[in-house]
Amino acid sequence: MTTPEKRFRRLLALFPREHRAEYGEEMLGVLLADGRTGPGVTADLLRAAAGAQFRQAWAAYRDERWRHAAFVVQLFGSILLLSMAVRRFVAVIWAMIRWPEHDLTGFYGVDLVRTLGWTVAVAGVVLGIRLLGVAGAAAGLAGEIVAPFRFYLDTPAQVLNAYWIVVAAVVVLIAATVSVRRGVPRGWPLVVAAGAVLVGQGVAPLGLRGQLFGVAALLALIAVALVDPAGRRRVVVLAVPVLAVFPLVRLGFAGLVEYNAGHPESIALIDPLQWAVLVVVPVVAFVVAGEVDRRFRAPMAGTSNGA
Amino acid sequence: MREPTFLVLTALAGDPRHGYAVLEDIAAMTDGRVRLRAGTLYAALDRLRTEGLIEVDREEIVQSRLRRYYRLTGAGVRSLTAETARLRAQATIAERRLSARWTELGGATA
Repeated sequence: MTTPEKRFRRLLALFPREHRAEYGEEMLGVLLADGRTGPGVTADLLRAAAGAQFRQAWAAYRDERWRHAAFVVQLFGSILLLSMAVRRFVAVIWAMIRWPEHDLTGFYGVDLVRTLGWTVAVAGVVLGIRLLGVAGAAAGLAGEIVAPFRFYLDTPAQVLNAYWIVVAAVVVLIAATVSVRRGVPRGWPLVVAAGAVLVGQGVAPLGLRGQLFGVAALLALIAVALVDPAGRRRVVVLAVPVLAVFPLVRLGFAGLVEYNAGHPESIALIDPLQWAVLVVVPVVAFVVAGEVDRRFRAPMAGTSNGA
Repeated sequence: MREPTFLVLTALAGDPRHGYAVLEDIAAMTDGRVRLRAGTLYAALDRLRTEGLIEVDREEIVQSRLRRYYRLTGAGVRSLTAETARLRAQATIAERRLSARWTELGGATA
C-alpha cells in the first residue's frame, strides 16, 4: 500500500460507515487516479466527511419514528413538569397559610406562570393542538429559568440543582415543535400516577420526600419501558441530555458548591467556561446517544443516508 | 442549483461516466477553471442519487477497484433542462443590458 493510499484511507475512515461502504473504494480509486495529494485534498475530504456525518444525522432525526418518540417525550415530560410545578405551587400556598406574615408574592408569581405554562402544554398535547403545546412549554421553560435565577447571586447552587429541570423543559419544548401523534402511549396512566406522587411529595414530611421522588421516577421508568422498542430507544436518547446533567453537576461543580457552602461572605458564581460546559455537555450527550442508537439500526439501501 | 451540481449533471447528460471521468469532463468543460476534488464530487453524487436525479448505470472492476458508472434519470434530465433554461434567461438579460450599455456609450467600452 502506497503512502498516499494509507493517508486517503485514514481520511476516508472519517466518513459515516454507510458512506464508506457505498463509495469508499470508488473514492479511493478517484483520489489515486487524480494524483493531487496536497492540503486542499485533505481539507476537501475533511469537509465532505463532516457534511456526510451531518446529513446522515439530520436524515435520521427527520425520520417519522423520531417524531413519534418526540410525542411520547412531550406527553410524559409535560405531565411530569406540570406535576412538579403544581408541587411547588402547593408548597408555596402551604407556606403562605402557615406563615402569613412572610411576603411570598414573588414566589407566587413565578410559580403561577410555570404552573399555568405546563397546564397549557399538557392541554396542547392532549388536545393535539401544536401551538398550545409549544406556547405552554415555552412559558413553562421561562418559569423554570426565572425561578432558580432569583437566588443566583446568593446561592448559585440553586441554579445547578434546578438545571436538570431547565434542560428537561428545553427537551419538552423541542419535542413539542416536532412531535407527531401516533396514538396514546401505553404507559401514560403510570406517568399520571408518577405526577400524583410528585404533587404529594410537596406536602409530605421531609423524611419521606426522597423516597416519594424515587417512587415517581420508578413509575416513569416503567412507563417508558412500556413504549414499543423502537420508540423506547429514541425516548431514552431524547432523555439522555437530562440524565447527563446529574453527573455533570455532581462531579463538575462539587467544588463550587462546597466552596460557597464554606464561604458565604464571598460567593463564587458560575464562570463563562462553566456556563459553556453546562450548555455543551447535554448537547454532546444527545449527539453521542443518537449516534450509538443509529449504529444499532440498519442503513437505508441504495444511498449512504441511513435513517 | 449550485455550480458543482450543475456541472456534475451536465457531465452526465451525455454518456454514463464514472467518478474520475466526471472530474475530467468538468475540468475540460470549464477550461480547467473548475477542478472538483473527490470529496466534493462524491458529496454531490450521493445527494443527487438521494434526490433521484442520477442513478448507477453499471459497475466494473478495474485493477481490483470498483468503478461505477452514473447516468441521469428522467428527473435529472428535467432538472438540468429547467436549470439550463433559467441560466440562459439570466444570461440573455445580462447580454441585452450590456449590449444596450455599449450602444448608449457610442461603442466605447465602459
